[in-house]
Amino acid sequence: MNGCHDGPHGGARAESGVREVAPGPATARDGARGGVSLGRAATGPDEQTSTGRDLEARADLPVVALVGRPNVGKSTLFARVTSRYAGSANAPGTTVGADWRRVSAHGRDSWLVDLPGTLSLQDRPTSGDPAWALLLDVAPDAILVVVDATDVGRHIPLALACRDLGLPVVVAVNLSDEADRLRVTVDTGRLSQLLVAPVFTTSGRTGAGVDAALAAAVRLATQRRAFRAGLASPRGTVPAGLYGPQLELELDRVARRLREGASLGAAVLDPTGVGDYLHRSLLSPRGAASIELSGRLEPLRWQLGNRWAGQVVTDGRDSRRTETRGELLARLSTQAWPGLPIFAALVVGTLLVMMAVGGLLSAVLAAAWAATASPLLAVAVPAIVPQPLIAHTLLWALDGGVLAVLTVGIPYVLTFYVLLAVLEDSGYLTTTAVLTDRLFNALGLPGRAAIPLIAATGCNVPAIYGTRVLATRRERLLASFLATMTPCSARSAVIVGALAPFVGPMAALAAFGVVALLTVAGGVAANAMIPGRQPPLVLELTPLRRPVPALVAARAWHRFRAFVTEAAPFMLIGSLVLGFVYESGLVWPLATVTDPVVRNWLGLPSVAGLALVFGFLRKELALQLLVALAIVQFGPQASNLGRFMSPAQLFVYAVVVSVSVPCIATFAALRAEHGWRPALAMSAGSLGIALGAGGVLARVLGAA
Amino acid sequence: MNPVQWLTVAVGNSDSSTPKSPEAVGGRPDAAHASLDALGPGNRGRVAWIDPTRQAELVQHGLIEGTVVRLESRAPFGGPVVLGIGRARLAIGRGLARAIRVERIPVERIT
Repeated sequence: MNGCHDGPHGGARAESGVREVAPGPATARDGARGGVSLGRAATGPDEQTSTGRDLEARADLPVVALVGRPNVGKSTLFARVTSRYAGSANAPGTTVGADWRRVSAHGRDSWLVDLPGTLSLQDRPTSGDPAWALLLDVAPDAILVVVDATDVGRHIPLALACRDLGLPVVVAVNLSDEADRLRVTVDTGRLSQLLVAPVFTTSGRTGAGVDAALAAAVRLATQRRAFRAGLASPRGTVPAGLYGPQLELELDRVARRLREGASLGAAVLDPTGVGDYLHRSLLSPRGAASIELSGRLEPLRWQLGNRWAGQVVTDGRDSRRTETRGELLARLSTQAWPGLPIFAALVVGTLLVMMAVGGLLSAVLAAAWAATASPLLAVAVPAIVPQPLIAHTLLWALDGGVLAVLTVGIPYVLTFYVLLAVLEDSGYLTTTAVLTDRLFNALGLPGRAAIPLIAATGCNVPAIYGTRVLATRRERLLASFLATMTPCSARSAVIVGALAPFVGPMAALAAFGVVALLTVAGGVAANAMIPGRQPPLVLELTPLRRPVPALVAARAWHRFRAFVTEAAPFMLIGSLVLGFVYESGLVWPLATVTDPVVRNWLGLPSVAGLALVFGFLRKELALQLLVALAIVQFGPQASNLGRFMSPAQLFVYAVVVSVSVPCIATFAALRAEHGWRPALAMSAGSLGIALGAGGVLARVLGAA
Repeated sequence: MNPVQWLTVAVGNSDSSTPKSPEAVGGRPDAAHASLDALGPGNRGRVAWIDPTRQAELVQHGLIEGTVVRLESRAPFGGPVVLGIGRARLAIGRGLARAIRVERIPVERIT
């Protein structure tokens, strides 16, 4: 970026469409007439609202809201400012909900709030409230709008919409490193004149310009705070006549109507519900009018964006028609040839790497644990805890439980998260969404669902939380159900561990095939049973780029930490419960309950039924516990599964474990996202499918 | 706000003094204009008409009347078409693509 264009250009007077107003807030026109609402602002905004308590606790400092379209590097920028990773990705819809951080710029403290990426203020990024409501709910004093330096024209409409709210706006022209690489330059000085807002060149990845942009936003927010408290009267500039005289008059008319409605405390002709926000003085009457008239303003904002982009952007590339290699690859990867073979190769490659690296790491860690910690614990725990039942139960958690976390968590979950982060950061995930859209449509889902469902092969829990990126409750329910049917790394480990050594790798692949068929069948059935249909796909594709190792590592680690803090405790507690049931001998009477189904219908030994039941606590234990129980019942030679179960029995067992009831952590996630009834219904559905298919398989294969 | 309400706002009050073109209030597509999904890969078109019930959603992606789009590729199995709008790429379902009419822009040969 050209050095002379760096830095703020706030308050500049634009050619014709801008007039300077003083004194008054940024929306001085409303300020002049809006005595009622401004007066209310000074007496404390919103004690009676639902978010009132939240806001009161945060009322001490000015609030800067971070707004931007998806995938503009907003979260990376946020992380840069707050020195904390915020879960960004080269895929839309990664930030869910508002994230508050306290920041300090040039000695001024402030709250910085990262909001989910949004296409417009009318968009519903979290499929709940529209973006303008999410934004105003944090009671911002200034908005830091993040725009993409490589495609400014597409981002100007959102910046304009934010500015139309009547709040101070600072614009960060982000991804400048990417723009430099593409030889695209942005005349930030001119852009600042046009937008009548300070404009900064920033790069979240290198950190360039980030502090300056934040400092400007904090300064404006602090000034607005002071103004609202009646301590200062800042000068401001407002653009006039941007949308043509007719619409400007209409804006004034609606603003007047809304202001009268707000002062009466009644919702007079207020289809958007913005009157409530006006009543709470979170925006100006004219800002409220801009929301109400957004349907007519948005196309004009896009026209302005295109026109202004022509004035501020210099594209240094030889011709608009030449494609970069990334663009060529992106184009090729979304069509049948060679897109589908590339997709298939990546999916198979991901699975193979997970099996190879995961298996190797798992074996190494298990051996290391068995050689060091395990003998130590076996001596130490009984020495410290004299009661043998408690000591042995504790050993289940400390030895077996921690070992399970190590041998499942690090090799499989972490490996998958690294692979997923590579796919995400390369921008390929949205490509898969396009390629598979029609296929997912058969399941009542948009191609976008590919993203959480691929995550489900690592762990169902993040996948279920990840279904929030889908637009409707119907889609989220369907995707969650499919996620619970998708074998996670632990269940894949059971399939591989039970079949590959004793029956052969082809059997493991066949089992995966059967599970995939059942998943698809379950999905089709669920789609037919849940009423409604999915809306058509509209998805902006992320550019393909070389993954940045630091970002990949940060993202994988961020997710892995969630696994350690959320799933690992569950696994340890589960081990403790299991250990007690096992050590106290309560486990054997249980077998009589499960026998009719397990022995007669599935044709499996009783111990397999117990292992299946305990699979609810921990799926990967379904294999370990099977071995442990078998040793108790049949003696040491049972440590080889092949000795007491036939290949057919092992196959049935692997499929049933993989498809049946999700583990307790997954169930908890389902309940949290959808409530008890859907969680129970999905669990029952998957159990039914698993037992049905298991019984049929047992008969076909000759196990029962 | 549901899409119907949104549209109500988008179309505006009937007493508005702003003159509206037939397209803005949801006029019919011109028969001379091709459906967007009829564009060949690599071809460009200028958006001439958008089904008014879809306008609110598509405007967020910069698809308004007058936007020049390039059809980049079609996904397999009758899947979405990928449009190039400037530098951005937008995938939209085939059905939605049929709700957009374009005026073809002749292909210029580069020698």
